[in-house]
Amino acid sequence: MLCKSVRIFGLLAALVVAGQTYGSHRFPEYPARGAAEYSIKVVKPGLIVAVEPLDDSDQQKLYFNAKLDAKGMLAVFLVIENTSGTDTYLFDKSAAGLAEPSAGSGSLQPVGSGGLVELSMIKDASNERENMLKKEVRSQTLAPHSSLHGFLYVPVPHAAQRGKIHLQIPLTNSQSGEIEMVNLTF
Amino acid sequence: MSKLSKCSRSLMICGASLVAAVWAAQNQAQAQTPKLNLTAALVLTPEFCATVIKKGGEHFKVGQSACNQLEPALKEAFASLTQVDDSAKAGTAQVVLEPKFADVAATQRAFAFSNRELVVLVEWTVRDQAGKVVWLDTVQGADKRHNGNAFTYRSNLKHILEDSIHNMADQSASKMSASPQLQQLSALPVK
Repeated sequence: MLCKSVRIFGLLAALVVAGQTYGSHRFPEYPARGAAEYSIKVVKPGLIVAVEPLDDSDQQKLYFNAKLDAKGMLAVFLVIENTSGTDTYLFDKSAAGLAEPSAGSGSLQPVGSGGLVELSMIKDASNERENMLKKEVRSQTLAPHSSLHGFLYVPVPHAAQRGKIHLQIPLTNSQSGEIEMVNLTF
Repeated sequence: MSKLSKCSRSLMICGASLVAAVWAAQNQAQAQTPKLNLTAALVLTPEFCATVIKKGGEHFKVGQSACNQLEPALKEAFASLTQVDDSAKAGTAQVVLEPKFADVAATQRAFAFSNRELVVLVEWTVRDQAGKVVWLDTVQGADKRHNGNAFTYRSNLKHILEDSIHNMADQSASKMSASPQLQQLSALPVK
């Protein structure tokens, strides 16, 4: 009798634990380094802006539990470091976007709507989407000697080699109001 | 018997002392957060308050909940705070606080007793009297709760929404209070 009760209790406990963990997945944090340590970077007086594209499928699987390239997306890790001791910069994520070389001059022109993947347009309720949202870079004020990091999601051709990506990151100096445009190609 | 009652009385006294100590520590921590010496106008537009976000077949009335909870939370961060429905009505406020929903993520679970999470992201733009942006930040509010069964689902949905917005409002107040840019503005002599 006692043995049967223990078995029923054990089964119920197992069901509760299974229910709690079902569908949940632990997503590790992507390790951030100092902006100067990345190979793709732009160094300006008072600022270092670096990117690291996650082209490797295994890395995508590890940090996003999905092969993003198969979904037509490339996760790009962005690090911005304010190395100035006095200036404050404003990073507005909605102003960051892709650029393309203009036909005549070859200078970079921003793509109309920014061209990045808007996670708000993805309507599903999956853990993967929530993880992408949590890891996405956010609009922020960069005080002197501070940094920010996070992912931007760039649309890429499905299951095909991607071409060169030109990313434009505008940073506004909050004191002077001047905009520093940072161009990164990778 | 008397030994047992003595023991339980001591335990009760210990418990009550512990609760009182925790309550006092919490109150002290709250009282220690200094208010920014600024007059602020919180802009809650009708569009913001009417924001409904649809995720996975569910509708989250984030705007309605935020418009109920932001003012009381932010009042703790500023010397004076008024709520307006248009930034043009900010009047003589030294800073204008403009929130915008950046995104919402809601997970779904197959079982009633499984925990689900709701994450709400709000982007804040704070302008000075000249209209210059002095502070920009994104605040994340989150809450976890059981999915709920056929009887409790609606109530759980309401609570997870209220609590994640409450968390976002508290985080907003804390971030504003701790912002060096707003503290600097707060320290300037009033013109």
